Amino acid sequence: MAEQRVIQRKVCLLGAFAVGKTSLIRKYIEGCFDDKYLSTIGVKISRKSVHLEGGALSLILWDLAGSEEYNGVQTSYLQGATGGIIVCDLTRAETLDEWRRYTLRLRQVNPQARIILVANKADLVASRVLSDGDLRAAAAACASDGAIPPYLLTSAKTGENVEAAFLCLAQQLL
Amino acid sequence: MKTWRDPSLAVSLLELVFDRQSMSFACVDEDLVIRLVGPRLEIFLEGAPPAVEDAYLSDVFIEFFGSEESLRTVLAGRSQVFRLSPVVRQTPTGEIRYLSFEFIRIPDSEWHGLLLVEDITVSSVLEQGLIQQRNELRLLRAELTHANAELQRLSQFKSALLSMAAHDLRSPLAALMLQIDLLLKDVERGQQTVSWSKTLQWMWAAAASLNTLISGLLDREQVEQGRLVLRLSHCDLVSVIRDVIRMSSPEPVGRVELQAPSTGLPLVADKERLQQMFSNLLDNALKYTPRNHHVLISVEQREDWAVVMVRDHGNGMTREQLSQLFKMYYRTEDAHESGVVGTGLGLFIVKALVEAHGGRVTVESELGQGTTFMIFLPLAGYLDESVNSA
Repeated sequence: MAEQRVIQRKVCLLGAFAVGKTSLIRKYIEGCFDDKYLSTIGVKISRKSVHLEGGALSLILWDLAGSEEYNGVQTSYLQGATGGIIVCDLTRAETLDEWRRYTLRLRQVNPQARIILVANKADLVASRVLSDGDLRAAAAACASDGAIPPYLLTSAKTGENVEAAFLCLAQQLL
Repeated sequence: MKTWRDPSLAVSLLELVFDRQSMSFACVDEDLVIRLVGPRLEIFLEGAPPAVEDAYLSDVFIEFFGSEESLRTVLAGRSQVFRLSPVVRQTPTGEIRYLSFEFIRIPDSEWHGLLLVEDITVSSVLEQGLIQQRNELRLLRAELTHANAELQRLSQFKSALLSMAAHDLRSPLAALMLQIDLLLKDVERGQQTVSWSKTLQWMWAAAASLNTLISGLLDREQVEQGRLVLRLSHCDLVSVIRDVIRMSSPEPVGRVELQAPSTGLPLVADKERLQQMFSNLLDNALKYTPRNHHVLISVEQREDWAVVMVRDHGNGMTREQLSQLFKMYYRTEDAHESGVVGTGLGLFIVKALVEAHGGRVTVESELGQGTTFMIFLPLAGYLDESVNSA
């Protein structure tokens, strides 16, 4: 039987600090969640194999620091990324601006990159400040050639839509 | 005398420096294949070391996957350096290491590129600590700003509520005064010109309306201050709901369908608070249901719980509106625009009353389809002993 070559795809997770990028990856890969916030500096790389109908895919997930100290070097981090998951925090309005900023940034380096927008911390219902309308408008502002990137409400804590977000992107990268 | 350029001395010095600095290197050819490996490079590899020599750089260091074009730019001399730093590595034991990768061109050599790898854990841990503190402070500041804005909003809303309450109180009060005036005139004249029975009914309705408004304001204060007191007794939930349907609205007959066990459902609860709870829900459902549609109330037992469902055929709500629904003073935009009088306290009080009884309330809604509230109350004998009783 012929050996099936696994396709590798680099995916960057981007967004402001403390929006839950590391937690999303951890939930997706290890299935666990920790409430404690530990800021990421630089980049942490993880792998995850995904089996889809069209074939197998090895996602190389780049968890990038959300602090602006690293914005200067992030261009080198973004090179070769074919996909991006751009994350905001439903409980912090200012993090929504980063959807557009990071979408533009990723497309500057990789114009063909596929993008999924994620609004995290959906479990914190009482603290939510971003409305569905806010998210729709922000997603529309990330459109390229008239195509609006899909967005999902996720919770790294409960696992809501976490796998769906990664799979949605993986489908597009196959 | 030897100089540091002496080959044997240079090698010893280089080994010492790399060991001291926790560094290593790898040289690659023009195809980015590793052709030479520095001392102890294996300690920088993730997991089991693969065969490093003659392997592609990005197969050995996953960090370079996707960046091959940038590395070639360095090899071609069009760029000075390609740097990735810091890169976080987590060992299987959970230990965190920070690495720095730097790729530069080697001019005039059989090897074309040099990758320097350095363990920068010590300095990066300090840096991480500082950034952690700063980010936590930023989060705290954002929380404080948000709390401050919320306080201001509440303060403004309380002022608005006071004006609104004064306005709402005036209408039933004016109606009450008018009816009393009519009765007084009849008494003065010594003859009956209006139906006293009807007048008294109107007066009762106006007084009930006043009572509801004032109760809402007082309950809000009790809930906020944790002073909600229940007067517990044995009662039948189905009878309570039947009473509510009979009394709470001027025209419920025909618009409310009740599905309930004929045997009733026993509860230990505050009967008046139960009436208030279901009266709020029913009034709400009737307010927002078109006149040609009905409201469904069903009562059933599910294991140790009495479950009451109140379903209306109103406009329904968005997920965002649902998330705010039980907040104090919250009213949807549709509610504001509908002109229906309300303080935004009803559902806030319903939730507080249900929880005081050891129960819970959930809500589901679909735009254009209506809204369904589910109240779960513990059956007699299962009530939390900690509930206040007087």
